[in-house]
Amino acid sequence: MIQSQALRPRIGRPARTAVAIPSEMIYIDTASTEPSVNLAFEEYFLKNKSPGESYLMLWRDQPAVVVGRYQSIFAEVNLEYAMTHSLPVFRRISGGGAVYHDPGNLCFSLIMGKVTPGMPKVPELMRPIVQALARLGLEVEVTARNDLKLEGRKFSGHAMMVQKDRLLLHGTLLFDADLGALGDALRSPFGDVETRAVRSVPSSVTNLRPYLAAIGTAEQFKQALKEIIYTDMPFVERTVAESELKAIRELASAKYGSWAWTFGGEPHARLRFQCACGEVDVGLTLELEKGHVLACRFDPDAANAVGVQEIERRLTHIPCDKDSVLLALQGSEAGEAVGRCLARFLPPAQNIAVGRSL
Amino acid sequence: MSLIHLQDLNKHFKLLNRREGLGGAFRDLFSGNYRTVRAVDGISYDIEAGEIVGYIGPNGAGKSTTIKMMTGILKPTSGAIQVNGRPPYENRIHQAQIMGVVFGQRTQLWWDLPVIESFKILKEIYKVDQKSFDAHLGLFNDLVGLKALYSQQVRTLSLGQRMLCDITASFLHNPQVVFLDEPTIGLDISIKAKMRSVIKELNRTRKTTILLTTHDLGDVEALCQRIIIIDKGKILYDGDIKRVTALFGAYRTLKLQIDGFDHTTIPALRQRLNDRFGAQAGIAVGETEEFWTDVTIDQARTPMADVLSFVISGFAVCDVRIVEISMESVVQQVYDGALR
Repeated sequence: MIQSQALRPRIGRPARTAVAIPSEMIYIDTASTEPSVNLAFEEYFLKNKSPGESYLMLWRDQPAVVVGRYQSIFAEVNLEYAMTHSLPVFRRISGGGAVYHDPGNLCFSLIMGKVTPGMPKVPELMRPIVQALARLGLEVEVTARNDLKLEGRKFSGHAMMVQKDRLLLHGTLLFDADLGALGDALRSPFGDVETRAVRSVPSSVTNLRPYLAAIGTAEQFKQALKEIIYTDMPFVERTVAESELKAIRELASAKYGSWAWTFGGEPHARLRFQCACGEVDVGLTLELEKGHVLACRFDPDAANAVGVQEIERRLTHIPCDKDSVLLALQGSEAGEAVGRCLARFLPPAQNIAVGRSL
Repeated sequence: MSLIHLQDLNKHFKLLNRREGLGGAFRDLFSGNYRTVRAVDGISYDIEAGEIVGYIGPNGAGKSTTIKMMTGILKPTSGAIQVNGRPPYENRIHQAQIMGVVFGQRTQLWWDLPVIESFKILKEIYKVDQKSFDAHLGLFNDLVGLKALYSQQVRTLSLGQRMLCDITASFLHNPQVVFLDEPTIGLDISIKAKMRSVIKELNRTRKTTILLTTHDLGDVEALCQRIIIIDKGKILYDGDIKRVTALFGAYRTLKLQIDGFDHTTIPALRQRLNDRFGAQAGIAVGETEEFWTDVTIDQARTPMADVLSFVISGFAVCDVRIVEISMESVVQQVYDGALR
């Protein structure tokens, strides 16, 4: 009886037509764990969709470091660690600090039309994610820096960017990421680099897993979040068309996998090296911009040593990668010794990611 | 050409109507549901060089928003605004040279520096030469005797001392116009008096134009010939202060605490006063604070002493305060047609 009454209103009512309401959200499964592809997904949906369309993506990456648009990789990343651990480095289109990605770190992207004039307020943008985490029973504190913290430790970093009338908000949620690798990869050996680039703010971090007894894996965490969001904000899940995927893959390899974007986007920075030249240690400062050496200076105490000026001359105006530096310094003993010292901290000529299957 | 010219000036703010919950948080981002607040709603007036104008109105009337537009901090939604012949939001560095501002709620002095260091920084910012700087500080010392405070850190000053220093700072570069936004808020009578005398003196000797916003009708009475009353973003009155003081200057409110106060007290008192003094006596009874009964009296019609002695003899009055008419009652009476 009760049941039939409850059902009655549905009878005879016309079926809801599936008209796309502009304010509805579309969920995109990137189906990739390749950072360059996922970064390309974000850019593609930010730049190629009409203002009214809103997209949500939840995705995980293979281990990688992703730096902000205006950061110096040399100042933020331990490249020696990254190279020995085959950890690729990428530059994203949004500003902000460096983050470590791995399959235990869940990334989210929210791409939408910009509805307010001027820049949107970050706390407003963070409300959905804070509310979703609250549903999982996490009482998250939002700090003055707009970091999300639990018991005083950060588990999520965010960045926001506006492109004409569209807006991208993305961030990471550490679920069970390798915090040791995170710490090692994000510790630059150069310490205090002299630069006007955006510097990351080191924070003590935590994974969410210890706080979420019911959830075992990062993939389950992703599904749980997705379901919670669907309950309150039903979305349409859509697969990406082949033509779109082609454009995204093209963007991933041509831009995010390229040296020109990743290291060519370097802001001005001065790096200090200590090089063992035979018996003595000499200090050397490289002035870098856009991935090239602008100037090279040995410390005054070494300035009169034989061959120093030649090394300085050879290093100036070359790309700041391992191969170019080694090639430029070939032929003299002192030069090769300096080259070996520098090479440990410099990236290869090709981006590490290039050549991996996308 | 008047120094300040406003023509049909509007400033509207968009405020988000927040929706609840997770779905609401998403929907607020995708399609914000905004309402428009007309903080300043089509005001026009001109202020001539050398005037002191009182700009008054209750909280949220649009006073500070107007000042922020005059100083170039906010850009109007629409309408014309000119200070010294230019829109203040354009070429703000140039405009800043001709104006001084004091926001009573915050200081423009450096919290951790001694007062004199803040003055020196402002001297450099405004490119004031040493001679005028010394002369200015000398003048202020003569007027309010601040010299002893100059070596103290700003955060160690009392509110009144800090306000006097802020006023000193705002006049430092000899601006053509000074905006004083609630400069007397929270100050005691003696500091208020000092403040008023400084403002008056500078207006007289330097011909500095002054726009004063305040909650305190006493400030306006002491300083201004002209008063502009604003409420809900619209001008209610713009004219001679004498008409306003003539109307409201005679009003005083007796605040009474009556033993055994309950919901019958006010109607009973109203009835008894009406019986004794008549309906045309200019007496109104009301309640604005819990447990206090307000009796507002137009002294032009009924002497306050008569009312007071009558109330005390007939009711168990345990405490009495006498206050001047509040800004809110002035605005209410202007709405009700008092100045028409």
